[in-house]
Amino acid sequence: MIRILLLLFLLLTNSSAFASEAIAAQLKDFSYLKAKFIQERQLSNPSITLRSTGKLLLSPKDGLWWQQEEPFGMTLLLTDTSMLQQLEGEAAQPLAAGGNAQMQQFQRLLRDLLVVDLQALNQHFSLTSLPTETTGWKLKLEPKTSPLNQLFAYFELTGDQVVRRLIMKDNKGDSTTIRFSLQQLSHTPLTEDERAVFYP
Amino acid sequence: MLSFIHKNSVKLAWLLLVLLLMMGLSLPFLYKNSQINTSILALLPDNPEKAVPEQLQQMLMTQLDKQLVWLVSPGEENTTAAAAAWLATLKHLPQLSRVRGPLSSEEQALWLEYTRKHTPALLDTQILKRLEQGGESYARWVLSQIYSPFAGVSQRELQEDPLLLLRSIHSAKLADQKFDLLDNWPLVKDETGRIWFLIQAELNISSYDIQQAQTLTTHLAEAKTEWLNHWPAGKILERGTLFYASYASEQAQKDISVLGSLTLFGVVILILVTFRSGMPLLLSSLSVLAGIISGVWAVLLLFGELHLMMLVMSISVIGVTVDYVLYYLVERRVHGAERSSQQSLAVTFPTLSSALLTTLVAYLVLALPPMPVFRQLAIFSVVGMLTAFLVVLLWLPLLSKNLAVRPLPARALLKVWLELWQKPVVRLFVPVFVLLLALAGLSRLEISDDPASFQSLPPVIQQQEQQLTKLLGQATDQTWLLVFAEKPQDALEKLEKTEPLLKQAIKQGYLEAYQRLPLISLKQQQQQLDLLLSVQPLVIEKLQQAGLLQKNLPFKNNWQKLTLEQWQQSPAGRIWGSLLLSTNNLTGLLLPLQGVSNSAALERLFVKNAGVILMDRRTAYTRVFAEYRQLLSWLLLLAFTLIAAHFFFKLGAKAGLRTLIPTLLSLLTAPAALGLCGHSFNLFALLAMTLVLGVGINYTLFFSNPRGAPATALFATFLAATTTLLTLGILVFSSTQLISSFGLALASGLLTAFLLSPLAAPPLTKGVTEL
Repeated sequence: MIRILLLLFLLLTNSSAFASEAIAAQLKDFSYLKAKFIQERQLSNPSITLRSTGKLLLSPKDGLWWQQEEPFGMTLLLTDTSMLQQLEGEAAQPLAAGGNAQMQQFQRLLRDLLVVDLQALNQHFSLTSLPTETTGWKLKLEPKTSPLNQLFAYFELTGDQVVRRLIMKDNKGDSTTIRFSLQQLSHTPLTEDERAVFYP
Repeated sequence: MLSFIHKNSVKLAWLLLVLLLMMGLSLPFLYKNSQINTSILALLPDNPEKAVPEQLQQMLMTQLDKQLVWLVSPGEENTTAAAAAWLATLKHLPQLSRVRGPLSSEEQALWLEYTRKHTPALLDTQILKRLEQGGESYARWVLSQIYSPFAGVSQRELQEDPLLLLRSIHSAKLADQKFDLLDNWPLVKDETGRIWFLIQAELNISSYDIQQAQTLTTHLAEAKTEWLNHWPAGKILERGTLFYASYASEQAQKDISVLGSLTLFGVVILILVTFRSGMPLLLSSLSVLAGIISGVWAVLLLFGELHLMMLVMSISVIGVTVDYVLYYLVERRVHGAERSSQQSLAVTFPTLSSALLTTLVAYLVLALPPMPVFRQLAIFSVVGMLTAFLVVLLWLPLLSKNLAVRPLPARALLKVWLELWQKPVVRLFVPVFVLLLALAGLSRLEISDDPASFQSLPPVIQQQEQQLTKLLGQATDQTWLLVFAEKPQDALEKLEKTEPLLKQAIKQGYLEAYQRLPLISLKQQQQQLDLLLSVQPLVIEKLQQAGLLQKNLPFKNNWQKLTLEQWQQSPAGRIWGSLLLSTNNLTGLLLPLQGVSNSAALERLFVKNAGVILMDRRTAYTRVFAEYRQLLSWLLLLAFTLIAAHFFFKLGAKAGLRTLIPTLLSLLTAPAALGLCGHSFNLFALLAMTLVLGVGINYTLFFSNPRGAPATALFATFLAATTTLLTLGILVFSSTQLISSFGLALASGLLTAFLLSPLAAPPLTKGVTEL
């Protein structure tokens, strides 16, 4: 779970480094990223597609705030000190028990990734650039370390100026596609009100 | 008694020889059935926690002694190869078992199977909380997990485990783990960012099996050197009783050979110089040998083991046993012409027996505190000295009939010494000077019963341990809560009843944290299973309604109960097994406590729960040391008062006081020397003082003889004091700090007693010239 989150971070911020130096430079010192998302989970047996929508806010300094709005309200909050999940109308619950070392490790890796640390990236994935039909770029990331490689077959990331789509294929035949839209990448700091979501 | 011995002397002598031969011959057999104990802990009291059953206490020590930990750092590169190489080395060693590095895929499979089979027994607190909120709410949570992009719940998983129990248990297990992972290797980082991989193992052999332990440590040291050749930037830290035990036994062996041969050399030279003949040396060796054989025999027979530390300290007994021979031989040497060997015995017997008596009593006091080493030393010394005495009594008159009669050597020196003590200036100035010195030392003396303050451990090993412990974020305090009962399930249920108390204690700030083994009682397993089964149908129904589960697929649970035996065989049991102490009729559960700040309050909390005991070894040791320090202080005071009363009664106030001064000052200088050298005052110092009183009083007794000291007695006393000082004082140079500090107190006390003993003598008129 942590790994997937980590990967998402990585994909949202760093993959562009392969596509364009300009994007890498742009991503380097950004203060936050806002976007909308549409997520489709394809389950195979029984065949069903679960569709959800919402928005996200990523601040390298504070963490990730992921809010699903449809089909039901759910907020995920990941910061240096906590990983919380809150269902609409219920109290927030920690995602994993305790303040654990795994999370610390993840948070440290996260920082490496946020500053486009290719070395760190290469430790966990084999990276291949794929041809694209349109303009932009496509990247395939195959996990090479445990437990990532036990869970996932590969990830596929598409983008141009910004990341547009992420596909996660797991080893059991299911897949998840997340499309991003209305991206806002900013170098100005978050306002106090905006930051407040990270500190409930 | 003497006349009886005299009549049957030959018969008795042969009887003694036969007995000694039998002891000697049975020694190899006894030795084979016993062990050499090298534990440095043997210097500390046995079983300080009286409430803890002996069996469990021993098992706990065995478990602790078995554990070995390594932290391996590859250097600058973050590669697991260096740690893997060290792991491979360790796995090849037959003396180690359960060598654990990264979790292998087979082990992961085992874990999965174990979790699947015993799910209801392994539920974590979060699942339990969710289950208690009912099926409706639980189903909502499962749904959210399926939607969550970070959770990655697959449909297959959902079908097999619709309540997502396995992943929950797994993530709780990961959360409990304090370590980062790299390729399944547990690791920690230090402040410089250097990474350290963790390897753990258990010893197959006893840490205290000297030979095997030393073979293993030598092997490990060689392997480490080789490893460093491959990984020059790498580092390995190690921790385990093995390393201490091996070091301690090496030191003790060195002590025995170096100090032992120094002592022997000194005594041999002394005897040769004094008698200028080989015969006395032979006779002394005979007596000492007989003493050693019978002493070792008695210790092996009574204890079934020999402490290496005891052997170090037993060197000191050589000096005392050789005294009896020397007393007698000095008499023979001077008066051999005019007296028969049996008459010589009659002359020396009162002196010899009174010296023996005081020394025996002093050594017997050593057996009072429950410290194995000192108890063995007491038995060894008492039996050894008695035998040596018997050898003098029975064999020496037979063997020393034709000893050459010569005048005593160094007469001039002895004369000067004694004449010096006739001068009023010396008689006043020296004791006052010694008193001032003693007061200076006493003023600096600190009393400490805390074993940590006087048990110094080898710095190289200790430094590694400290660094390792710090990196692992562990506490060094050895404090546990022990929960025990006859039946395993009763112990587990008791633990479950105790946990709320512990949580309360954490809230009240008595301790920071505790650790329990991840196993619950069958009773609680049943409760959790009932809860699961009450919630499960509704969750499945909801998931089927959402189209996530096929409707017609019946769901089957294949859950099993988790018994203690099954748990022990499981991967969990292999990791946490050391927290379980099980014997034929007792099961003990050990909960390591961290950051205990209020031991007394904790103890009060559990005092009403039978079978729940706070084990705080340091506090327990401190308490035992304090108890016996006080007891021995009173005993020593009592003995001193009796001696004082005896002197005053026998000699009158003035002479009595004069006679008492050497004894009093010797008792003061023993602890004062510790103060001057920065050692603390504790039970060991008191034991040394007991010996100072028991042995030192002899010198005074001989000099205080109001009829004037015969030359032989004077010379014999001088010789005896020299050999005793030589052998007891040499302990100062022991590499075990406790023994060295014991030796320091002993040597300084005895030296004072010897130096000041002429003070006890009435002004001599004839005695000096007689020399």
